[in-house]
Amino acid sequence: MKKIRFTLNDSRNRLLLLGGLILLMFFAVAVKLLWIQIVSGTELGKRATVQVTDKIKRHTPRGRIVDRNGEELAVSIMVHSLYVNPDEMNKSAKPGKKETEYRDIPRIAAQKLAPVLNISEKALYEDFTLKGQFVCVKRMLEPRDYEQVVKIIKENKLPGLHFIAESKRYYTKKSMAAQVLGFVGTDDSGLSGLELALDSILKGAETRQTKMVDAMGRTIADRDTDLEENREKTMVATVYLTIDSKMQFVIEDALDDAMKRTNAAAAAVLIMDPHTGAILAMGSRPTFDPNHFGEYPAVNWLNRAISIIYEPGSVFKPIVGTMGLSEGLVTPDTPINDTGSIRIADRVISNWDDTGMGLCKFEDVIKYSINTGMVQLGMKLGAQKEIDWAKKYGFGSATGIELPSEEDGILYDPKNMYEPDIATLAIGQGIAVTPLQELRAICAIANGGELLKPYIIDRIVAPNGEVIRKGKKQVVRNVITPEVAAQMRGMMEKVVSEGGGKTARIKGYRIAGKTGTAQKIAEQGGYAAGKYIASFVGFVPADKPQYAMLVMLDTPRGAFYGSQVSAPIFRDTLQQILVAKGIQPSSSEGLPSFEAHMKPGQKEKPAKALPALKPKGKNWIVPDFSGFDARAITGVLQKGNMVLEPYGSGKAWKQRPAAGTEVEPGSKIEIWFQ
Amino acid sequence: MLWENPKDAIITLMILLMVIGCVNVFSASFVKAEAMTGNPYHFLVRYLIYAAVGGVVFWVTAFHLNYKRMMSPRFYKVVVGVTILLLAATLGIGTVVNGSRRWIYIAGFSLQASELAKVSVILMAASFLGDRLQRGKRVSLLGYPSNEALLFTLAFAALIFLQPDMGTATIVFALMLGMYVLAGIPKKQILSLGGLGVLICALAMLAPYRRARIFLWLDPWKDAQGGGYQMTQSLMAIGSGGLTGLPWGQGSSKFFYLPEAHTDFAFAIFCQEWGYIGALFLIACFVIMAWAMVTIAVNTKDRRGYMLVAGATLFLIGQAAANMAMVTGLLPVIGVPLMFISYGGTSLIANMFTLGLIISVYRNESARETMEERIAAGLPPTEDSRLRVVSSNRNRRPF
Repeated sequence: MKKIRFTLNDSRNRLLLLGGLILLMFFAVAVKLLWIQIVSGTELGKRATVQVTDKIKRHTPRGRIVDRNGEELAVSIMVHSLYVNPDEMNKSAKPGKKETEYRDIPRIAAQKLAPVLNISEKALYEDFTLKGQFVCVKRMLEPRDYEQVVKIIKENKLPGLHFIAESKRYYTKKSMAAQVLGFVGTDDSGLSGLELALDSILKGAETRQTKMVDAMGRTIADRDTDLEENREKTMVATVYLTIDSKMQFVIEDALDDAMKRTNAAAAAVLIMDPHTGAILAMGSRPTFDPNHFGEYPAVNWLNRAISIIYEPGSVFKPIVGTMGLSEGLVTPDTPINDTGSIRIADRVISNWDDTGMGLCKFEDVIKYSINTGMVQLGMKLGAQKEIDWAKKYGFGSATGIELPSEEDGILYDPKNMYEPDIATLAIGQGIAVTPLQELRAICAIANGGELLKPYIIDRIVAPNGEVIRKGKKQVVRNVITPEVAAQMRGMMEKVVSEGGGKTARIKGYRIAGKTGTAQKIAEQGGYAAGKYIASFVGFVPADKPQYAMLVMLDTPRGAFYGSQVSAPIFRDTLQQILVAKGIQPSSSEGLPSFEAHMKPGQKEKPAKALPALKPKGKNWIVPDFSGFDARAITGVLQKGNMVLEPYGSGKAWKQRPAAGTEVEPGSKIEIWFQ
Repeated sequence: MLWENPKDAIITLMILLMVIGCVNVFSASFVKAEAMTGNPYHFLVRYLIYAAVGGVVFWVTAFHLNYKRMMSPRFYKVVVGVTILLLAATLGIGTVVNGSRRWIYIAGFSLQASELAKVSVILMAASFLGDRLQRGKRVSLLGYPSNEALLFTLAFAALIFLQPDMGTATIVFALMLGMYVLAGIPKKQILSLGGLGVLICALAMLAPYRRARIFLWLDPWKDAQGGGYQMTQSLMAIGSGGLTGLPWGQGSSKFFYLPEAHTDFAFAIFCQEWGYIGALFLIACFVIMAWAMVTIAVNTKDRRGYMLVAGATLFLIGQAAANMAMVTGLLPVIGVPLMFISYGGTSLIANMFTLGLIISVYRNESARETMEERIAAGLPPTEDSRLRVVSSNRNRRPF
């Protein structure tokens, strides 16, 4: 074995060789480090940064939508969504060196949370034992549930459960003005209605925050803020609508009632200020609750006041009438021969009852809605003038209201109009309009000739009180002269007082209006048999119009004439509004006004103290109203946001609910006057 | 110069490395420490306690014990006995962490017997092989009873392998083989060892899961969330340091991203927070230390002392190089700590004991040289010696 002697020197050489190999290894490390740190250092550093950076979006609450008086229609509050970091929860579940007892944390958490979250224990356990760092457990907990969950987490020392603050939209008045307001999707983005149109303004300020997290997804920088969100929230702008929630409430109520009574397929009601173009109320049926919009078919989201088009029928006659008056073709007194029916080329156009009135004045043509008379006027106007005037009145193009998905309507090209088309346009056929276009044209008659751009946003107010945007009257053009307008107002007043619109009459008030019953256009063209659109447009008071209103019922079952189904809605609604708003009756005929009752002999009556609503919790106790007039009662009821439904006029003698009853705010109080 | 001789160089560098180690261990461990115990200084305090104990061990070994007393066959047999006992005890009463028993916990402190086994191997080899070298006997890997040291080492490796800790078992055995190489096994055997190594690797490659691990070592990004996780985290930590490093304590990898951040992969955290410049400085420290150790080794005439220093050099510096190579991805992940930079109590004390042995050898050799010089000059061997040199044979050379 010892062939050659192995000396210490030999060994030293081997040591130096091995030392050299180790030195080479250090050198290799130095080269590799050069590669890692200098050449690809930036790239690797970026990867390291990416993995520790967690981007989170925070929303401040979405801006409020309120009515013209500041009554809240849509508000957002910050609610908490619960999520689990399963890695964190399960890592903590392992027995540590110090922890002697083993706790199955996912199981305990699932058991305790299941009843509060209303999720099955099994499903929760599955969520808690997934792999990963972020599993959403339940979004947008109600504040009460949130408090309970926080309590459970604290009491049981459950790791890995965290909250994110999210903005949740509440529509305080449920389905009221649902189509106007629209709704908001899960990520605070407006999907419909004003929520969509004003999304950029309403949207809560989104703050993007990046934070450093450790390998289990826990925040490195601020570990204590997981449970509580103490960040300062900047409020965003508040949108004030021109809508008056009291009027809106009245029309919603009337619409519900009408839908029930007439079994109509759809309906729309609009109230506008004829002098400014401000929308005071806008309702559409079928409707939905924007708090739960997903539970309704999409067709319910449609705002029928602006997004559907229909043939207006006779409600278009006043508009054609002003064309004739303006062109000097007729005056209210121009004699017209009504023969019951009239033949134009190959078409015979008849009156609704097929009977003729013989020789009558033009104002009677409007008053009694005589088709033959209108056809004669239409033929005199001719295609070009009819269409030019319709355009002047704003038909055929969207009004430009701030709401999304507004329709343009349809107008003939005058070159393509045959004689029957010219004739039928005069009675509101062969033209498609939106309810808003129709009402706006009627407003031009009501206000003396100004075609207005309707608006629904009264003002937008920044958090600091600054008014960012102010809705104001915008005159598109003057369509007719004040004289022509006054003549037509007179004729329309007679429609209600003497003619076909008697059903819209409100005793004591001068009302101008026009009924309309149009056959519904079938989807495949032509007219749908037995399907009608019954409408009524009008304004009040006729001499000094304050409110213009349109009622449109689509396919009412049973009675279908505008005068039968739509005009009563107009009447009932406006009656409440007029009383509530304290608009004085124009005459005391049959309906004594407040002043008219101030006869000397009754002076002691007002001495009786005005009854007041007594609060009881959130509700109110109704006092005895007997002996008081509508105006005084309205003042009292306003305190509780209640609505007066008056029957008759004079002094109250009967009421429902009875005095002493406890009612909720916003209830309807029926009072009979005599 | 900071030092006048290799001994001072080693002591200076040891203190410097321990200061760096303290700073880095704290930065790498405070997050974990706080999560585990609520006290961010937990590991720093322990490091300091171990360093204090290690300091005493070092001081006694270097300045008050003669290494030669540890070189007797009887002493090394005691060492072997104790080591085997501790390794067996680890298998019996050790605490299971991550599926293997590696530590015995005594009164809140841990003992890693496999780290002691490495020191035992050096002592054993120095004594046994040094004796062989002294007597001019050629060593071979074959034959018994001429190879008890190898057999004892096999026993250590087997016990460590059972923990299971294949990496440390391999290191312990490789360390002994290295000592055999130094002690003069024939070149044929060295080549055979090399061939055997290649063969074992090739055979290992036959198992698909091992092959997958090799491929993963070559490209850890392929499975950055699975098997390549630790390696990619290490690369990201090192890479994010760039040239000058992130501010101290600001590296993100210690937030549970990099496993073993304060132990085996502490070098990655160091590179993250001190950059390429810091890493080069640390490498330079180890290279200078290696130079000092090799200088002492080649100047040691006592064969056992020589083998002791040479073995200690292979052990300490070899492990340091292996750790750095592992952390940077040049070697597959095997659990090797980096001297003074990685946290580990037993390892720290064992390292300081080993350095103490080196100093002890150096002091003995210097004393011998002084004595020889005095004798050559006709002076008494020591200043207080009453003996006088009557004659000296100048031609007689020790070897």
